[in-house]
Amino acid sequence: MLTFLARRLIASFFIILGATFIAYILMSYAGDPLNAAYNIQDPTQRAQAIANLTRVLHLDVPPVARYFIWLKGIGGCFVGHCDFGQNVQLQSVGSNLGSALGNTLKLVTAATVVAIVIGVTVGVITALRQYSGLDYTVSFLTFLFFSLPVFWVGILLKEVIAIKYNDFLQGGAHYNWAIIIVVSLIIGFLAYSLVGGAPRRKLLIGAAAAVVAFALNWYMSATAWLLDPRLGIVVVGILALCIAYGMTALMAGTANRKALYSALTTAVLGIVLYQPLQYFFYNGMNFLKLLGLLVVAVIAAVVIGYLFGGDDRGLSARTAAFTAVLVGLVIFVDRLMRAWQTYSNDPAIGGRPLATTNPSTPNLDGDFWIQTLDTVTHLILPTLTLMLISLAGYSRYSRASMLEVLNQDYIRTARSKGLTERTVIVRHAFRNALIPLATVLALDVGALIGGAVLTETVFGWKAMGSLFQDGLTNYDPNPVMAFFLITALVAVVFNILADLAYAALDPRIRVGSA
Amino acid sequence: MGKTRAVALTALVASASLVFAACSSPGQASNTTSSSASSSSSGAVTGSGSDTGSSSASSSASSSGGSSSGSSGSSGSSGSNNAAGDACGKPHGAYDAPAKVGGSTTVAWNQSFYSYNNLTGHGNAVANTNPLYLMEAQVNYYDQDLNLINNDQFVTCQLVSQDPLTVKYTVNKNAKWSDGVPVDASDLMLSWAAQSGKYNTGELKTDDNGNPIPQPNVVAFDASSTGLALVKDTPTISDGGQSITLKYSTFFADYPIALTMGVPAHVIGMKALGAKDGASAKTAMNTAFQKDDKAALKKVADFYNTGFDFTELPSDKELYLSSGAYLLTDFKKDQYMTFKVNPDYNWGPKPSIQQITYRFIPDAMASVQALQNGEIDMTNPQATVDVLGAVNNLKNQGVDVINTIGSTYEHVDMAENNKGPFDPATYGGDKAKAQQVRAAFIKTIPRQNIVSRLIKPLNPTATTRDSFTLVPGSPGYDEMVQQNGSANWKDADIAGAKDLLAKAGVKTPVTVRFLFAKDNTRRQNEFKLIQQSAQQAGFTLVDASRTDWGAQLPNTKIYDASLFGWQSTNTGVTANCDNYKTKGQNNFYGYSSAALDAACVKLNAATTPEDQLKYLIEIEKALWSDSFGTVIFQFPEIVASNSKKLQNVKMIPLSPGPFWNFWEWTTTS
Repeated sequence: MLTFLARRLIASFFIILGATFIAYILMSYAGDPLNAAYNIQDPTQRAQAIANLTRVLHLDVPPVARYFIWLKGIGGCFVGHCDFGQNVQLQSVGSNLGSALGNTLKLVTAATVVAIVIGVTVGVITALRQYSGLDYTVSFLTFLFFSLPVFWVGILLKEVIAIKYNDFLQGGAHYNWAIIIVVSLIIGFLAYSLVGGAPRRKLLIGAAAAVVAFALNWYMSATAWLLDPRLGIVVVGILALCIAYGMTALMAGTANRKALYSALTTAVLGIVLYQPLQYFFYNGMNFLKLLGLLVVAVIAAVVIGYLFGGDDRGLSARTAAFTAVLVGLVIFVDRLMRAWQTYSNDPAIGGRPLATTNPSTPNLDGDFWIQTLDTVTHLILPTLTLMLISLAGYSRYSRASMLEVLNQDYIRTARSKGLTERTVIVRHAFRNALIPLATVLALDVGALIGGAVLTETVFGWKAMGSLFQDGLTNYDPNPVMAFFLITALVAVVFNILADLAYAALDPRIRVGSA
Repeated sequence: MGKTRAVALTALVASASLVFAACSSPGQASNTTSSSASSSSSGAVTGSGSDTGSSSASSSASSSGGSSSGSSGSSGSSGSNNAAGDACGKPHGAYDAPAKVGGSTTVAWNQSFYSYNNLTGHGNAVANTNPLYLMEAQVNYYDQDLNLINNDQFVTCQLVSQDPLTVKYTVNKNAKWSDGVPVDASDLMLSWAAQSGKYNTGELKTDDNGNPIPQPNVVAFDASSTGLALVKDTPTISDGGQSITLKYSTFFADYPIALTMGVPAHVIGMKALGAKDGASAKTAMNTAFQKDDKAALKKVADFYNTGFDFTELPSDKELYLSSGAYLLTDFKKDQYMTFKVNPDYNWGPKPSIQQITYRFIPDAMASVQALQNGEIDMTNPQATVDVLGAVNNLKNQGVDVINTIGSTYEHVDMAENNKGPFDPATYGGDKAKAQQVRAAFIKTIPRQNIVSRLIKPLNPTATTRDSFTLVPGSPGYDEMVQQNGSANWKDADIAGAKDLLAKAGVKTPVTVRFLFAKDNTRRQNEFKLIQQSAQQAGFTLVDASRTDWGAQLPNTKIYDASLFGWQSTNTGVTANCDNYKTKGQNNFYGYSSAALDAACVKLNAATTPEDQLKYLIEIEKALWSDSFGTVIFQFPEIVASNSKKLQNVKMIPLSPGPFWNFWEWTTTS
């Protein structure tokens, strides 16, 4: 294991060394960073600018030697003094890199997590309903999103989701009947396709879902709910109980009474604490407190699970913990919704809450909830854009992998020995189907760090992509190399992590035995 | 590569009024290059003031005399003499206070601010100049008709003598920086000292990491100005520190735009020289300049060069003092700057908008969508067909669209020193023959067609530019076009070109190597149009485009004709001669005309705008009749503003573009 790691690290080191060398040489022959300086007409100022840049970028040294000067600055990282050089505006690339990396992580993290959760879910469901209408529809949609150009999706989403939705909110947030009916029918169809069983049962459930959706939509339109959305304790309570039941059904089976009671108790605890929590949220809320709350909730859930005891107390605790996290999420979202109207009416927002550009609204004053909402309204479009594109990858891979696993002999064995369908799918098939996704994830993270260039441009974020792009247009070597180094590092590190994850997930694979 | 050239060029001094356009992208992309020239000029472009010349000079003079009071009595005396008060533009006089101050607006720009000192070589960019224009009171600025207006409520300028050229600047006694320290002559002293080059003892050096300086005993200000370099004696400060008098060693026709207000001297005095308060800091600075104290000046220059660089709000408030209409109150890295009205400001035009948010949105289409979504109220996006279409679609939502010209213009030059088709040497020294070939080539250039095919889709009001030296719309442009002879070259004339070639008796086809920016689509299209047209008359155009075309311009061995853009940053006249006079620093082509050289000498000594125009016309007559080259069009610019929230947005082709009249803006939100 250690030798494997050492071998991989050493190999990676030389790979990065070689790759940066090639990139540096290519970059230095791509164009002249002095181009802008040559464009200055005043000869004195032109000479001054050329002399400055020549010194700063060592243009009087041949590219190969210049690479080693650059490498020396980077080598400083090992002794805690990184030097990424300066850009053509004589700013330190290191400090720009710091803020760019921060913004990229902000942008990419949410998109990756959401894409994985939704992608894998969709993939598994379509695998279970192979060759159904749902399967075809979802396949069609994911491929459609996959093949759309990012900048176009970005512009389109801004037009439809931000601008039109804001217009809709400003117009009073009332839908017309056609929309209510169409939306209800779509939801009904979704429910029809999702549930299994006899056609009669499917139709019934689909119709019920459509009716409920119709009623909800009508209510939301009539009360202009979207202008001042909130769930309230009743809805939160219903959702919490549903989550508890659903988590149990998924993880333990509702026949496991101890798990069910653990989850339900956790949900009830959440409902009871709902009102007191509002006071807690009101005073000096911050991100750390929120994180603390989550930890406390999980611990409480685990304790509840153990107290119910039984042979499988670990499973009960796990079920309760997941329930706690989701119920916590619902309460959090409810609290965010309560801030919505205040946020939307802020003069800095002007009744148009969904933003199309930059990571935040200028000059917005407000507490934790207002600021969080602001981040959400700015993140939602770029996240959606990135997510739609990578959704296809995750859903197709997990679908294929799930189908392959479902056709394995041991699945048949599991079925034949009388295990419930839930156990077969969740315990035996799903877990093994996840293994190949480790590779996809590793590649995807590297690509997302580097590949968000267009998304950043379209949404006015200054992150890794713009560092790279601005560097390229100015033939500015240091920002480009900084970008390249970071993406190369991420790619290499995540590849190693993927290999290790493989070994951990799949007992058939052992690292170091070669 | 540029080392020997750099040294050679350093020796040459010329004032800057033009900058090559950025090769890679039209319009705003030239941001990065726009300002170099402005160390002497973009500062000058700044300022305030409004109603385009509506107030008379005499009324302004008297009001300035009255308002500046006390020790600035000298300005009062200059006020009685209009000519004397004109020394840095037409004095504006008192500005009307807005009926009420309130509301807010948000504007977008495509590049983030990075230096509070835009007089340095690296800080000199539109990205810095625009925000500084909101914060800093200006000695002078351009109005809608590109007249140079002097904000005489802030600084009055008196031409003391023409020979030797002596100009006296007097700062309004009430003017102060936002930390309460007065703005006075010591700030102008610093501006001169940094740009004159007088105190520099060596070139700016950087260490291995590229960080400027730490060199013992070397003073190197990263700033320069052709005009101020001619002021060799340390200027004298008088009137209790309110006035400064500059004496030029030789006459300099562009003296009105030579001196601008820069960074506050007392801040450098406190940060670099350790002074305790503003007054002693000013004294320490002035003493250092007067005594030429190298040890102190080194610290001053070091701080001046990089001390004011920041990309987010610094914790030290002294680094972003305001002397003008707005105070910088917030600056979030790569996102926005917030400006709030300076309540103390009464030495110039007062804005009516309480708060301006200046957002950075690099992508043109993103800024248009932000405008549509109400996140911003004004944008000046890079002009493309898509962007123009998108803003035009917003007109029914109350968006005003200004289609206008920018500061960069496209032109074709021909090499006369490379033994190519345009060089007399090719024809055994027959100058007339070479001129006929050049004239024939110019006649093949389809100027109208280029404008209608490539520019009109971006600016429906576009026309050809018909002057080498004057920005369309600037004073004298119409008269220039009537007289300079450009009418003969209005559009492609294939028959005429053929006649000329026949007359010259050269063998066709004539091969012409054509240099332009390889990565620029518009120039590629221009090349194709010119190529097709020239072919009909017997010219074979060879694509000699390169990515390093800028560096290769002086190397006429590799091309016969070039196509690129110049960028104007002010209306100064002297820099024109660098482009055209014999051995001018930007005359790479070996062009030489005795008539033009003589006109340049006279132009440099011309004291009145009328004389200047007269000599400029002489220069252009020589250029057009000698078939030096041709000018084609002015780059298009688009300004879109949400008229429901922001009114009175105007645009001029010189920096600061749409911001020039920010005090006239009104808001309804």
